[in-house]
Amino acid sequence: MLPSELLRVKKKGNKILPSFASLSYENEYASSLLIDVYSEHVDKTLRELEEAVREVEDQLEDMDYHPKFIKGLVELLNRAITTERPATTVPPDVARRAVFSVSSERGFAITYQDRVEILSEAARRVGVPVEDLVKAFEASYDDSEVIVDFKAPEPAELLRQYNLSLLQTLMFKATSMTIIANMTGTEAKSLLRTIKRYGLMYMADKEDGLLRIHVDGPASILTQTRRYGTRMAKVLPAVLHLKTWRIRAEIIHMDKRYTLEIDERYSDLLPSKPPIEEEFDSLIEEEFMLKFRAFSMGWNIVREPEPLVIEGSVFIPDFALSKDDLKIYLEIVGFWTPSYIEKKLKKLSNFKDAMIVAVDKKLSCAKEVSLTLKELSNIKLVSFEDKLKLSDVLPVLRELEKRKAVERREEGLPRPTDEEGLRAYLSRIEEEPLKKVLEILKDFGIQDMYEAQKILRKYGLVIVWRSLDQSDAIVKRLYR
Amino acid sequence: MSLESRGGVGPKRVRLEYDRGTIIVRGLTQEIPPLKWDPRAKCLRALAYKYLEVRRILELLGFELEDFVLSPMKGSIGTVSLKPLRSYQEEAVEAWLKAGKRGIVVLPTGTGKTIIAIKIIAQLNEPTLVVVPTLELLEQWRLELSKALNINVGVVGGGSRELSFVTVSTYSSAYLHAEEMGDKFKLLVFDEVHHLPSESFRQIALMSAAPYRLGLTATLEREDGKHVDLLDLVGDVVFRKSVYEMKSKHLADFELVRVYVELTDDERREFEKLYSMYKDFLERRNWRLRSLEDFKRLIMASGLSREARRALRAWRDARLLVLNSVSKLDILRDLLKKHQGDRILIFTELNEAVRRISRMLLIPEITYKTSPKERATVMELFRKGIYRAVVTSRVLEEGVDVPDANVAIVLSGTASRRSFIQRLGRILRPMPGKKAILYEVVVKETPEVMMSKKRRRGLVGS
Repeated sequence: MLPSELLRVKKKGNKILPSFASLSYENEYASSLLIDVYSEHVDKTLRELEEAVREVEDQLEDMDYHPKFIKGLVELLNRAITTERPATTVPPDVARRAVFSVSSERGFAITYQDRVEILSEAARRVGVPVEDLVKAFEASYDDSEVIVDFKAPEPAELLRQYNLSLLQTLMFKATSMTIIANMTGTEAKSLLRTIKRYGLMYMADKEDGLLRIHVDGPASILTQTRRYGTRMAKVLPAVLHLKTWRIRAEIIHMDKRYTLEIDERYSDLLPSKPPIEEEFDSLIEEEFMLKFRAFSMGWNIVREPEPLVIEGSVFIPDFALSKDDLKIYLEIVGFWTPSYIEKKLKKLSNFKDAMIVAVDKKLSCAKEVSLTLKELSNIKLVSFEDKLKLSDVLPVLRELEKRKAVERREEGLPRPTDEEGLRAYLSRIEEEPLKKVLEILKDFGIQDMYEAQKILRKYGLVIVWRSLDQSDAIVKRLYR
Repeated sequence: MSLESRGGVGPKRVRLEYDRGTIIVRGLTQEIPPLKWDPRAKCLRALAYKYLEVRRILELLGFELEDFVLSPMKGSIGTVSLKPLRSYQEEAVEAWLKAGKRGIVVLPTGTGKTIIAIKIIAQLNEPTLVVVPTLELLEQWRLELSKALNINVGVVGGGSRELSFVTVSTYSSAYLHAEEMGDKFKLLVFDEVHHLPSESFRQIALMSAAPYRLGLTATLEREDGKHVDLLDLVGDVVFRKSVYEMKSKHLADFELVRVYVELTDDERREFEKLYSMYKDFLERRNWRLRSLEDFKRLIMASGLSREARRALRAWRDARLLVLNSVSKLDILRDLLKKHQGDRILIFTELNEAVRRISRMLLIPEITYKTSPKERATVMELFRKGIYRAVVTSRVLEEGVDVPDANVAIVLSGTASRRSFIQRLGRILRPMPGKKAILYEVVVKETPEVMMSKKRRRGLVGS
């Protein structure tokens, strides 16, 4: 972010764009020239740096670089340095107090001679040599500080940082912003968390399979305000690293309205942030996912699946569980504040898809939660203690598979549990890959591992696991 | 959930809450101005300052209100120790109370506006937020309030974020934290209320549900005309007295002295060169700068063309040259010699010029860059008389108490009327037998002559 006087924009009709610096040879030259000046001034004073920078600024201006561009780079470089007060034998405020007091007593340094006398009298009172006193007197000015560290960026990276700052500075003037992007549940969750953390609000819907999030603030529907612009600017970096993104913002610039439109084609000009790591809401979820993956029973598990939109707000279930054409969401309600639960319930009660809601029995409002959800036919309620176990969830999945099998029979699909056919098939087996056996069993309507194991045992067969991976396992005859 | 549906089952209940600078109403879907339907939160919403209006309308329509809007700071003021008010100060308090505990008091600098506010805060004994423009005023109000009301005063601004039953904040901090503070106070006091109508600062008033509001200023009118919005934000002017109604009765007598100086030959040559560069540019463009807006236009253009940039740089250099001219500094030396024993404030326009004078003549400086700690020290020692002079740019213009200063030297300034009156006000604190002098140093045959005329016109007009 830059001071607003360094903002540069391009306008065409009602469209507005920041005047991005291209990653050209010329711009990298200016960038590296300035970086060098800063590198050379480590251990020198700010005053010396400022003078040297001004010289390079003039030089670059004469070469027809835009002064605001140059000043913008300087602004960013100033943030990359660390400065320290120079060491003095006497604290600066003590020195200044002595000098100004003596000066007031003697009617100020009207002549050069007065000045010399005042300074030596002040030095005498403080008890240090005049040079030390003068050094301490000067030390309180911030340009006397010494540069102790400079984190030098790459020339191209500085240009990208400049472009981001420019975009953010223009965004300060935004009254609202719309983000249209393709994102995973995790990405959406982190973006929405950022939006909320800055006290902003949003409305969501889907556009061509992309999530569209309109962002503004509480007062935005009542008054046209740029109050939230700074915060929207801070949300930007959470969008720019996505693969597919588009941002549209309403901008008020010099009392006129403009639209800013920018998309992933500008990504090269902007800094790329490393993708966000998978963040777990709670340990319960993390443990559950590891266990489920280990004993998948043919079910797939995806954490924080694609975002869903319920009446304008985004809902990201904890997990999506799927097997063939079966899909069910899983939401874990662990330890949370009552107001969080209230919000969550509100969202859930508008939810139409199949979902397992796992409620912690220790939750103070567990009963209340259960009562509210029992009325909803698409929701399967399970409760757990301490941590969610596989055995809490598997019965629901099994029932789901059974029901699906019944549906199939009713639709006249191949008759499942055809005992004769099943016996004939299983009797022939001596050793077969588990995967193949399961596929055939599926045709007979046996969908899950638990059922399969039961029936195999009945015919004298066992599953031999060679690793945790199902495709390695085989079915072997134990007895006939 | 329309209005009609409540027949027979008794009054319909609606719930009012505060939400980050707004109030929301639940249990009702129909839009009733100023309430608007918010599809994001699925409730009705209005700006917080409409709180009383919303209450009144809903009550009028027969709703039963569950009102959770205010969560006022708890506490009470202590034993009040306040010296008796002057008659016009009493009048101002009465006028404000009679106007429904809303409105603006306009009084010249140095006539005790702070005391009026403290009296009102003491009388209401409600959680109060006082908003002030500068860090000096923040500290000054904190001291006066804690002394007069015998309580611990909260401070939001200058690095502190401590809320209390009575809290003082700067305009910038109050703007930044408007959402968090909007439901915590019932009385808002705006010192130097003419700052409030700016696009950002007005949000302090808009996002607060506080029903009682007091504005204080010496100079209500703004050049952009936006002071008319204060009626909506704070209330009407309930009491007003001008400098000339107050002079000699309640203020120190003052004298204005204008001192003309000339540039040296070298300075003059350089000045003409720079100034004509600037003038030529304007002529080529056929521009005439009549207002601040015109000047802003020039600054904008400087972003576009190199020529405009050079013209602007020439203008700045010319100004700096006049500001730092040898003869100006000579006059300053003379005046300092003449006023041995007086308490002197020196004003000059640019921070570079302040620093130069401070270093050269060894006079303590205050600019916006001065640390809060050093500022406090300088002000304290100036009040005690250990420092006899302070050189400053614009920082000290507003409302800071410098009771013993009796000489002001304006080395340069803008044509702004407010700034001039305020500088004047600095040295007009009433003291028995005090005679204040304001010097204005103007360089002949430069734009300063016109600027000086302009700002005096402002004074005569009031």
